[in-house]
Amino acid sequence: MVVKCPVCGYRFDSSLNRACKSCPVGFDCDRICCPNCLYAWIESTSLVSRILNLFKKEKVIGRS
Amino acid sequence: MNRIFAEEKDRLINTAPVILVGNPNVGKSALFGVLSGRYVEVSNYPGTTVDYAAGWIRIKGEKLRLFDSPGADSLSPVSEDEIVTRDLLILYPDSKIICVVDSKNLKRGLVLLSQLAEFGRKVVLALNMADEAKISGVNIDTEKLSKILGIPVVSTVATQRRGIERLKEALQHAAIPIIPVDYTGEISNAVDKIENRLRGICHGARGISLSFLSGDNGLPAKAVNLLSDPDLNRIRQIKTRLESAIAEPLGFLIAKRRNDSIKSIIDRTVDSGKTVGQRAFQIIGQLSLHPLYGIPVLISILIGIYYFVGVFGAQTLVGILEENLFGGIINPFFERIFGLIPIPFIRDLFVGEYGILTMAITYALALILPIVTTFFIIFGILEDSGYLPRLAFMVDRIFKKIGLNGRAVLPMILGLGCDTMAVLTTRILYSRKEKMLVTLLLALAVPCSAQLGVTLGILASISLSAVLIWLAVIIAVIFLVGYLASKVIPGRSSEFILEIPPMRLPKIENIAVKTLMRLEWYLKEAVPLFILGTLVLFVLDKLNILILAKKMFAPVATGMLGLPEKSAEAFIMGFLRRDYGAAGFKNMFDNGLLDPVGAIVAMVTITLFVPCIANFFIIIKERGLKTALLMVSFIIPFAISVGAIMNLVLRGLGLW
Ligand SMILES: [Zn+2]
Repeated sequence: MVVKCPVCGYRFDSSLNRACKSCPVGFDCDRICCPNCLYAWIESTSLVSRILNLFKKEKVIGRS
Repeated sequence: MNRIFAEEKDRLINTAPVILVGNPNVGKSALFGVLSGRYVEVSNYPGTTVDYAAGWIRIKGEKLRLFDSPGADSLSPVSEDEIVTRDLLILYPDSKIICVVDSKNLKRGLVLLSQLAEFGRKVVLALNMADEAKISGVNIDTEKLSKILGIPVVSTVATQRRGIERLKEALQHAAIPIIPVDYTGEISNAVDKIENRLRGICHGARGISLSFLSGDNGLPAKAVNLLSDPDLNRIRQIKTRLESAIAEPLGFLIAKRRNDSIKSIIDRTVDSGKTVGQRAFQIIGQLSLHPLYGIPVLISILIGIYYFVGVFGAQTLVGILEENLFGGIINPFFERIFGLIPIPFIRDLFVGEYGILTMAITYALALILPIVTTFFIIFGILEDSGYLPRLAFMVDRIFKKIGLNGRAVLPMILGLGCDTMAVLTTRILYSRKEKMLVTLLLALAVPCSAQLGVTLGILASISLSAVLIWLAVIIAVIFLVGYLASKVIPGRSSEFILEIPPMRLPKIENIAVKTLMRLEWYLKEAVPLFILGTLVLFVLDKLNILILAKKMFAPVATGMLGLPEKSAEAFIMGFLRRDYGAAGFKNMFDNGLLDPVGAIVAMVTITLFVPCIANFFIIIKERGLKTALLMVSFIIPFAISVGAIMNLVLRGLGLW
């Protein structure tokens, strides 16, 4: 997934986990960490994303 | 296949096509539709999941192939769409490009344009959505822009077919844009070297060199196939060498240089008229960057956090949930239900003094949830408003001025991260002294702003002065980390902000989604540990070890820290998770077991404690038991000594 860091503006592919590779703590956490400034944030979680997708689908159906 | 058709296709492919290139959502497809008319084929780009459209464009009776590339923000590709866009350009080296940009966001478009220039492509710039730009008061001096860039610039509104004929006309004058970017010495040298090896193999050697340096997908398959193995190794070597010489990701530095030169073009050609509200935000944005006025802005934000998280969240909401809902309705209900169970062990496990429902779940949902929710809302607002880059910039400037490493403390201030060590561990450390310092930093600076937020909220419900004292200690620790970091990683360039976005009013739905996601993450991480902590206390209590532990800990708790014996419980909880420990102290304070001084001392000590047992285990896994134990053997005495000193000072001052 391509993300843009909200602090430094750097664009990167979060699936590469560049920053995580050198982090002894966060190998398997839900956070995305910017390889440039190291700001970490949550971009998506399973439950909330699933609920949002439900809403999106309904909207599309409603429009057509 | 029909031979004549195939021949014609060949002939057409040999005539230079026109390619539409642009950022996502700038009305590129609409423009494509207008330019190509009815006949459009959509094909899948081989080897990808990306579709692109192809059609025909008629210019002065001549029929040319027209391609619509997938949306791209950069030709140093990060996404598959961007790879396809870049490859289309390489596949048709003689094509002319219509670079479509959103007039409201010229900057984003010019980033792409400057890369087209590096690829050596002939371009016409289409300033699309010109009508919307006009409405939002953005005025672009197209003539001047055209003169500066050396290419035709045409305003268009694709949806209303405006500017289309002029765009077609302009295609004949397409030229390579002039956007000089000053890549500094080392990068510039590396680019030249790589470019030399790519020239003659691939069109757009300079663009490819830069995008190769920028990221992982920079080298197109075509170039990889055509390069000889020694040449390929050589250019990879150049990149590796450059990467090890520079601390920042190369992609970041290259983007930064590009941004700088684009900014000067924007400044000369764009007048972004603003409404009163936007102007107000702009002024706040500028103030927040000012070395002096930035401080009152920061203080007002902190006051805002205090009232929203500390007063509204930790007092009003917690009051409703903890006392009324859980204390008055939910827990009595469960106590009655479990009261029917004749086995006291089971009853206590769920609703006893250390019960999963009455302690773990009540703390998590009634005490911590409201605080952390308000904290996440504030954090989302700070993130979306564009304040965080400003705060980062300001902190970095202050630290730089006093010769400390500001970047190392940023994750601690901003981050929800355990990331300080990421900076440190990327560097190979040689001496024992360096390793010790790193260990110390790991111990001190394992941050988690969510945990800090909870602690802050709980303190706020005690008193404002408690917050201020606690804050002073945290700031002192931050400075200590910055000082130590500058010893370990000296001379690290602290240029790390690509662009400072304009301040803007965040959208409520975005904040809501962000807050929900952070809550889900927090609850998933925290609640299991809360339950585990409660179970530990429950078992220790049943085995009569808890009372022993309290006795053993008494000299430290009562003697040094001036806290009641019961505080051992909160420290055990705090060893599992700092915020859970803080909740324990809050509970003691509410029940009159702690006085205000005791509460401050306890909170400061727990803040400096091991942040979270899960992290601790991973540190053991990744860095070895020895380092982990070393950490703990530093942290715990350090935390307790700070607490003891605070106890002496605060009680000595006799302010309470
Ligand atoms: Zn960043």
